[in-house]
Amino acid sequence: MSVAGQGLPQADAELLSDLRDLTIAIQKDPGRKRLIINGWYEKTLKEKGAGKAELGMLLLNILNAREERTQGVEIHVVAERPLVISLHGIRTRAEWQKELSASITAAGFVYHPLDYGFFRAIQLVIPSMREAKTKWFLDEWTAATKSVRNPPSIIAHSMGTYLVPRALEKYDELRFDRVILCGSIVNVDYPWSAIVSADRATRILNDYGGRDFWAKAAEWVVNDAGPSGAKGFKDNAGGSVVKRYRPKFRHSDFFYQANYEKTWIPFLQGTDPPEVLAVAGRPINWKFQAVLWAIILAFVLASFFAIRHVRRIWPHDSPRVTLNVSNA
Amino acid sequence: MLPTNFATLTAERPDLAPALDEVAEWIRNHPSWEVLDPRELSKSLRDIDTWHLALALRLLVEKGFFRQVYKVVTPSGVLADDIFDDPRLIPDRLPDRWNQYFDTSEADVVAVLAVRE
Repeated sequence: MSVAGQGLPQADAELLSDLRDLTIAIQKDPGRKRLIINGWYEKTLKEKGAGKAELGMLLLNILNAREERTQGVEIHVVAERPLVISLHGIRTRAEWQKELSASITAAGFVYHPLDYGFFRAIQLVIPSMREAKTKWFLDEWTAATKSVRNPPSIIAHSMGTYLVPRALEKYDELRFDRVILCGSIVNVDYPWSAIVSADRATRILNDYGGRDFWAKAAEWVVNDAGPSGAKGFKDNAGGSVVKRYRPKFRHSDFFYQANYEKTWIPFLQGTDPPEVLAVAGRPINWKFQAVLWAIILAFVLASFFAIRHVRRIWPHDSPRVTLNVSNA
Repeated sequence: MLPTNFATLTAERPDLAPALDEVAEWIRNHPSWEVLDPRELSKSLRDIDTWHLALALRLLVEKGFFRQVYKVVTPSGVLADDIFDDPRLIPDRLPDRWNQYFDTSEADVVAVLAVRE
């Protein structure tokens, strides 16, 4: 049973979304049903006007009577809210995807984390295995976007960053709104201009770190990989590729709540992150270095004398057995 | 009797014409009703999409055929007599049809369409 056909105007889709939140709130706290409805009514009245508030009340009654409150509304809210897909790296099942879930859903997105299972480093080296994963990703994208009108955004890490550009290159049908890459192993000269100008992606955020060993290492074992997770991209597609360089970040240092809420989610909502403040390197603390080297030297000397002392107590040479063999 | 002639509206909003026609037909079949209850309509007019039914009812209000008011469902499942122009004006306790007061905090609030005075 459908509440409404595809192609609802944004304002109506938002109204359905609000009603969904309202029914969930009532289900959680039925003793305050009237107060919750009053709160919703007042908020809608202020923000969207009397027409929407009163239409919402009518819809609520009809949905209630048809027992579609959750099912029907859910279908269309899912269809109309912007979709965000995420894709993890190798040798992990990506706890960060779970951490991200609450924040991204609260921000009004429909979140669809993808999990391709535990992918071993050795599998990454084999071209046919990478190819199979690229096809898998296309299939997942197709399934996830079946009921949405607009292209989804995507957040990818490590091996996930490899799959997104490769799939974009290979499958012309694939489209994204915003793309967030972190710990990227994509080649630095990836042709983002061509992708953006063909409307295959709107804007790309490359969240990358100066100490990302794996981003630097990937190109040594994977023919079409590169260190964009440590060095950035050469082609910034006329400013559509937003760089966010974190000099001290390693491969998986991007996964923390503040980064989701202050950088990634605003970017998905249309706001570029501020530039990372360039902090000058600290001068060498010679006093600390002197103490450190003194400790190391003392340890080496102590070890040397200790070994010498032990060798004196227990001479290394074992007693020789002398055989007096007389000539027969 | 509630108004049933929505011909001008169906010409203006042909997308809502099926819903408006069905509503008019339903009213004609229920001449004793004093208010239009969307819950009853939605159960009877199953062929009409929920969204279109709500839009059609809202259009009837906006065009002045009805006014949208609010009633509260009593614990016995019928609508209490009191009518409110705004759901926020519903008091914490209301009398049911036997003048027994009930707590409205958990009660369903129903947006109904009443004839304009």
